[in-house]
Amino acid sequence: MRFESICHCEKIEATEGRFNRRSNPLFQPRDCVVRNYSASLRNFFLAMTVVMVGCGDHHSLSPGKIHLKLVHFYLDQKDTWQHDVIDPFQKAHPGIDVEVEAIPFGLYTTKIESAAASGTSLGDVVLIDDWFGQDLFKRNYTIPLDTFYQRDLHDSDFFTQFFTVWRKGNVPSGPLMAMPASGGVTALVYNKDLFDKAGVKYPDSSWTYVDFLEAAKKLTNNATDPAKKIWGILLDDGGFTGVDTYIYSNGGKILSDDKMRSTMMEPTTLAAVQSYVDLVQKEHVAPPPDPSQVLGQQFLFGHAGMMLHIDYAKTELAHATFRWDLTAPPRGSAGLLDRQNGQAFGITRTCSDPDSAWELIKWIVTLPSKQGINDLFFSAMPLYKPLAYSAEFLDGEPKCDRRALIAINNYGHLFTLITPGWQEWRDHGFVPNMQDMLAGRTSVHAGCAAIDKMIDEVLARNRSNP
Amino acid sequence: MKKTVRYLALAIVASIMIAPFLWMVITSLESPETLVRFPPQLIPSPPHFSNYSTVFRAFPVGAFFFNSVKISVLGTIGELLAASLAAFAFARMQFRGKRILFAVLLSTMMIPFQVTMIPVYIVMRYLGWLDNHAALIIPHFFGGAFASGAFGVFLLRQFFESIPKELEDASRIDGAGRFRFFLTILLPLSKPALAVLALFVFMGIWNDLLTPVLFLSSEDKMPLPFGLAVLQTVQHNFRYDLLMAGTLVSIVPIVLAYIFAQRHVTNSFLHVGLKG
Amino acid sequence: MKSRAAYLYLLPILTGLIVFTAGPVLASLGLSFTHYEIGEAPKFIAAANYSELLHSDLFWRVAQNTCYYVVLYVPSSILVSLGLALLIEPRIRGIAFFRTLYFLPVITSIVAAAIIWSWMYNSDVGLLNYLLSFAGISGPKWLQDPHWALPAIAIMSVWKNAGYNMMIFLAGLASIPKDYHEAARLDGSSAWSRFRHITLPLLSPVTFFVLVVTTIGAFQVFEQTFVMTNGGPGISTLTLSYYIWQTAFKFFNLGGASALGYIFFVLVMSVTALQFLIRRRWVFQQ
Repeated sequence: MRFESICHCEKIEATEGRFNRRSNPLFQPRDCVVRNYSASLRNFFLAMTVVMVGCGDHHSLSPGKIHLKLVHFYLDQKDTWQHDVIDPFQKAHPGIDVEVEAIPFGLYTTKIESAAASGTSLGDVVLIDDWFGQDLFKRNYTIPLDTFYQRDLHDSDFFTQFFTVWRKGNVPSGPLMAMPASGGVTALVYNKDLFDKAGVKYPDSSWTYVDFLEAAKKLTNNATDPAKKIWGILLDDGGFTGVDTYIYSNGGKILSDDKMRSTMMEPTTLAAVQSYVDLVQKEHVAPPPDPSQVLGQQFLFGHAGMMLHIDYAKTELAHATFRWDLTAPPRGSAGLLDRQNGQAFGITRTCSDPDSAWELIKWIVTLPSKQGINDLFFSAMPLYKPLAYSAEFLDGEPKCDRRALIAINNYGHLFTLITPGWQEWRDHGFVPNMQDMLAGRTSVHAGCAAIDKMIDEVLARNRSNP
Repeated sequence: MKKTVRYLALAIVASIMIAPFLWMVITSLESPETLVRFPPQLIPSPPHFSNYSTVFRAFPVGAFFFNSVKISVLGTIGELLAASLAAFAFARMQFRGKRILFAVLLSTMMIPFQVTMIPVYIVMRYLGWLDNHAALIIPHFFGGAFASGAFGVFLLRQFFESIPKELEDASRIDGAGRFRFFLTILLPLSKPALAVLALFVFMGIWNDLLTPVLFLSSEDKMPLPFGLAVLQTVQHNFRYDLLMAGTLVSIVPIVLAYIFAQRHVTNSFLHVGLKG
Repeated sequence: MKSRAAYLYLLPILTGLIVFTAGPVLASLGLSFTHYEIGEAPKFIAAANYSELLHSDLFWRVAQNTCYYVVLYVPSSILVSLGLALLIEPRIRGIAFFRTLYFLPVITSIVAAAIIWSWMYNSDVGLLNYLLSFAGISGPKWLQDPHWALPAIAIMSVWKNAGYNMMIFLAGLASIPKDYHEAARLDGSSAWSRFRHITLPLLSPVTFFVLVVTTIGAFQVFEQTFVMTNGGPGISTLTLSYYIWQTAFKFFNLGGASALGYIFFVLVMSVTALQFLIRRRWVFQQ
C-alpha cells in the first residue's frame, strides 16, 4: 500500500478545499488516506479474485480410465495403504485410477450422512465399521455382494464366523452388504510380571471363570495408595466387548436370537450380570469403570493383572513397561461365547462401476501383493485365512499369542449384538446403566430393567420405520 | 504495598493459567514408558524429542500450516468487512425493520450448528465449492456459514454506539460523505474493538476442525487441526505424549501471531478514551 | 431520517443470512416434521418427533444437565473474567506479559485443551489430584464421578474462556473516562465505592453483552463432552448440543435431530429474551 506523495495531497487540499485542516483538528490529511484506502481496497479485491480463482484445484481426470474413490478412516496408516495396497493395485489394474480420502473416525459417519443427505456419495468403496454398519445397511447405503462373493471367493478361505454382522439385520439369512476384511475377538489380556509376582500360573484356553476368579483374588492386593494398588481384573462397562463375552459365556443373553427384542430380564441374564457386578462390589477384584480414562488405562499402568478386552489392545500395549500376553477368554457355563468386532468394505449404491469396485475390494481383502499385512486394519486379524496364517501376521509386532485367538474360531462361538439403532441403545441404555450398576449406584435388577426398556424402545422404533 | 499484592495475585493467576500448558510441554517430552509413571515426574529424563520428529513425519506440517494461514487470514478479513459494515448500519442509521433485523441476527447465534450443517453442505455442493478453500473463505465475507458474523455485528455495534454523534455531525458539516466518515474516522477510532474481533475471528477459524473435514476431501487442502486429528485417530490411543507434541506444534504459530499482534492491540487500548 | 443506503451496508450480512442461515433453518424446520432416512425422500409425520421428545425422560434429563451447566458456568465465568480484567487493568510494568499469558488458554483449540484437562483430571495419575494431595485433600474422581463430571467441565471451560471475556471487559473499562474516577477520588470516596457507583454501572452495557454471549455459548457446549466424557458417567454430562449430534450423526435420525435443534433454539431464545427484558433494570443507559 503506497501512499501518494505529499505534494499530491496538498494539491487536492488546495483545489477542493474540502478538508480544512485548521478548522477541525480531527482531520489529519485523511484525504490521502481515503485515496490510498480506495486504491488498496481495489487492489485487494483484485488479488482476492485471483486467489479465489486459483483456489479450485480440480482433479484432472485422465480420459479412458475408470475412476474409483476409496474412503477410509485409517488416518494414521494412509501411507501404508497407499504404498502397500493402492499402488500395487493400480499397477496390476492399469485401467483403474484410485483416489483415496481419509477421514477422522470421530467424524466419519457425519461426513457419510452429510454427503448422502445432499444426494452425493462419499465414494465408491467405503470402509465400514461394525459399530454403524447395520444402520447403513438398513438404509441400503451399500449394494449386496452375494453374487460377487459366490462367484469369486470361497467360504473355506475365510473365517466365516465373522460374516453374519455384515449381513442385513445381523442374521445368517440376510444379504451380504459389505465384504468383511478384518476382525477382532475379545481376549483375556494379562500382565505376566504381576502373575509372576503373585505366583499364579498364566491363563490359557482351558481356563474357566472359576480359575479366573481365583487368579483375580490372588492378584489383588490390599493397598489403598493408588500408586501401589493392584487389581486382579479390569472390567469394561459395555463400552467395548468384555461384558458381552462374560454375560453370554455364563449363560445370559442380552438380545433374543433373532435380535428383535431384549432378554435382559431373563433369570440367566440377571444372574450373569450379578456375578459381573459382584467382581467389583462383592469380591473387590475389579475397580469401577472410569469413562474419562482410555480403556485399559490401569492395565497399561501395570495396576491390573488381567482384562477382558478386544485384542486390539495389543497395539496399545506395544510400549508397555511390563511383559504381557493374551489368550482366549475363559469358558463359562455356556462354553466360550466371544463377542467379535470387525471392519468391512462396501460398494455404495451410487457407484457407477461395481465390477471395478469389487476388484478393488477383492484386492484389499486378499492382498495379492502380500505387503504390510500386519499394519493394515489397525493391526486386526485379516479374515482371509492365508493372510491370517502368514508369518508376517502371526509373528508381527507386537508379539503375542495370536494363534490362541485364531483357535477360538474352532471351539468358540463368535457373536455380536449390533442391530440398527445399536449405538443408541448402547450409548443411552446399556453403558450408563452398566456404569451405575458397577459403581454400586443402582441394583442389578433396576439397572437391567432400565436397559431392557431402552433396548426394546429403540428396536421397536427402528423396526417401525422401514 | 498494594502493588506487591497485585503482583502476587497476578503471579498466582498466571501459574493457574499456564500450568496445563507446562504440563502439556512436559508430557510431550515423555516416552510411552515414562508416561505412565506415578507420581508424575516434573522433568522427563531423558527428554524424548523424537516425539516431535514423529509429529512432523505424521502429517505435512508445512502444507497444513500454509492452508491454515490462508483460510484464517482471508476469512478474518471477510468477517471484519461484513460485520463492520452491518454494525455501522445498526449503530448509526435508521431504517425500516431495524430492531427486528437485529433480533433476527442475534437469534442466529442460538442455532446449534448441527441443525444447519446438512442444508449448508447442500448449498456448498450446489455452489460447487466442495473440496475447495472457497467453501471455507468466501462465506466469511457474508457473515460466515455458521452465523459467526452475528457476534461481530453485536460487538461492533456496541462500540460504534459509544462513539459520540458529534463526530459524525462534524464530518458531515465538512462535506464528507457517510462512507468516508465510516472509513476514515469511525474505523480507525474503533481499532481496539476491531483488533479484538479480528483476534477472536482468526482464532475461531484457525482452530475449527469440523468445517474443513466436512467440506474438504483432499488432504493437501487440509488445515492444521486436521493434523491433530491424524494423531488422535486411533480411537483408544494412549499416546498422550505424541498428542501433546502435536498440540504444541499446532498452537505455536498462533501464539507467536498473537504475541506479535498484541503489541498493536495494546497500543490501541492505550489510545482509547474518547470521552476524555 | 430513514436511510435506504443502510441496506447497502447490510447487504453482505443479509446475503449470508439468507443463504447460509435462513434457508437452512427453514429447511431444517421442515425436516423436523418428517422422518428422514438417507437415500430416501423424507416422510411427513407431523409433530411426531416433537411429541416423542417431550415425552422422553432422557430428553428432560438432558435439558436439565444443560441448564445446570449454564448455571454453573456463566456466573463463574463472568466473575472470574471481570476480576481478571480489574487485576490487569492498571498499566504497571510487565502487565503486557501477564495479559499475554492470560490469553493463552483462549487461543488453544478447545479440543487440545479438553485433551490436556482430561489427562489432568485423571483420577489415578492426573496432575490435579496429585497437587490436591499436597494440600491434604483427597480429590474427587472428577470425570469418573457423576456428581463432579459436569462441574469439572465447567471449571475447565472457565479456565479456557476467562481471557476472552477479560479482553472484552478490558475494552469496556478502558472506555470509562478517567475524570469520573479522579473527581470521585478528590471527593474522598473509597476504591470499593468507586467501583460500585462508577465502574459497575458504566460497565454494565459491556457486562450485558458478555452475559448474553456467554450464556448462548454455554448452552452450546459440545467439544468438551465430545472429547472428555461422551456423555458419561451414566448420562450426567449428556448436554443438548451433544445429544443433537448423536441423534443426527450416530443414530442417523435427522428428523429427530432437527426437532431437537428447534426445541434447543426456543430454549436459548427464551433465556436471551428474558435477559433483554430485565436489561433496563440494571444496565446503565447513556
